[in-house]
Amino acid sequence: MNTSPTDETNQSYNSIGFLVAKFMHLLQSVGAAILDFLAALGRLTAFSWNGIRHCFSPPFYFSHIGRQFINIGYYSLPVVGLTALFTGMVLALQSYTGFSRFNAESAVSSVVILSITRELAPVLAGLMVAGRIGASIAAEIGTMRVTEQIDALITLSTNPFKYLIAPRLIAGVIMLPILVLVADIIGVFGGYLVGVYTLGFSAESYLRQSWEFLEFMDVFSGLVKAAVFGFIVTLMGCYHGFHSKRGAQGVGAATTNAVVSASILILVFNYLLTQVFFS
Amino acid sequence: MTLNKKLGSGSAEAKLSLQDVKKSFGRKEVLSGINLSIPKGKSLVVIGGSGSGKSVMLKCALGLIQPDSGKIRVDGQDTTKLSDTDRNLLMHNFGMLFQGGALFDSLPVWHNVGFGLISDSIKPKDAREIAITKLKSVGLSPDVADLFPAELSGGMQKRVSLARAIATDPEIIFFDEPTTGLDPIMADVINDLIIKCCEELGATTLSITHDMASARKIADDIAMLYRGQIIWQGAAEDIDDSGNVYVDQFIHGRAEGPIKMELT
Repeated sequence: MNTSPTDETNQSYNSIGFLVAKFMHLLQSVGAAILDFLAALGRLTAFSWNGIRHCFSPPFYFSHIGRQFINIGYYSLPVVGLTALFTGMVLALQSYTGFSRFNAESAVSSVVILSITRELAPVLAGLMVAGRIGASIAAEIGTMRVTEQIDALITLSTNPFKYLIAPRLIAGVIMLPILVLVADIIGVFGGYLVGVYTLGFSAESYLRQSWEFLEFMDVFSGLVKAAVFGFIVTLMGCYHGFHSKRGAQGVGAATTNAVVSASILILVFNYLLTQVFFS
Repeated sequence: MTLNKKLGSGSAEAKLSLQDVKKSFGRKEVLSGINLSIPKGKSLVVIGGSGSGKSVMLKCALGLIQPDSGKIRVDGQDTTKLSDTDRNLLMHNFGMLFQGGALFDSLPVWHNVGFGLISDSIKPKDAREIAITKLKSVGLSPDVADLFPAELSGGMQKRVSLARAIATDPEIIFFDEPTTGLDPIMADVINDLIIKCCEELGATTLSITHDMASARKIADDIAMLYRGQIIWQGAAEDIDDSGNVYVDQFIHGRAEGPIKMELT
């Protein structure tokens, strides 16, 4: 078969046209994704600003804030405490194995207390609370959205930001540092248990070495991280619940998104805050 | 009321009116220019199929959704550009019965009913008293007051919800499918209660429904919404001689006719 030169040019024009169309389509979807992302970021920023604003302006629903303190703080104690206990214990075991190779066993207690207060207590408590509280907030507010209870609040002259969002944000920011302080103590205690009863340290020297290297900033930075994580967890729960789509599936998706986004944001902000504090 | 003073008194012909109200979600136009007006103390029922835009229209009128354009007037004053504070004041004049009841499931029945009453001047104890009288007026005994919404039957939840809607003695009450999900007898009980409560309060009402029995019973006027527009409006007793093929198809519930359901 002979193809004439004009056919060939036509064909190459066609294939160029096809490629250009494909390329435009690609650009279009990239553009749409970026626009979607920016829109979501804008919504989240506006939502956060609204939430923070209503934390500081009356009326305050004190009974709600109190209930959230108990929900977020008190009821999270067992799970956060257990996490801290076992983390402290395993940390003592692992660092002992490592340090004994350099004859530096005496550093175990300082490694335990520094790792717990600076990193592990805030991050692990944050992640546990994200699973426990972020999910429950998203499910509760999502169900209220889906069953029109949030609309009903508005028709009863009650601002949902003041009534639902602000109490949770306030409780998150205040209770997480307290939880982390408790986790610090329990975590160090876990390390102490393993150090003294399994690894053969003397109780007195283990405690003395724990204190010797601890600085105010180690604990303080952990507590600041905790406050930020508390805000992230409650904000994500509220935001995803508030914008929940219809039906059981919508509430399910809101719950998943709340936990996943809170967990990732905790890890990202943990890095950023560590850089701010210690670089 | 405070708000009326604040807004100044307008020409009070219609208590509530919608003028050329439009609303789109993305590219989909849901309301394409709604015009309605309800005289003081009258009851307007808007009928229409699923997806005709009834709910969006009601939420626009109530202020839960901001329309893209058009005016919504209460006592002659436009309410679409109110500040949060003024909107809150306006809400005191409104009552709303939600389709699913929308009762707060974390609060006992009395607190649900008295929710809008509790303020600096009315303490929870007094709100509870008022809530119990309101519960009586919808035929519920005081024992119900301390139960939680989840412990009630569908019909009782609807009545509690009605008690909450009328608790603040509102001037305008909105009803979203008041009889949906109820058996025919309970539906009629709710219809009777709606008529009774509105007469006692002298309230103006806007309802949306697709239950024709309910519409005929509670309406002074009926309007039909189709594809985001009001295609017919008239007195309730004229609905059978509307001369409008869409209305005829709807009130007789025929699958065949000019209204095509989007089944896909």
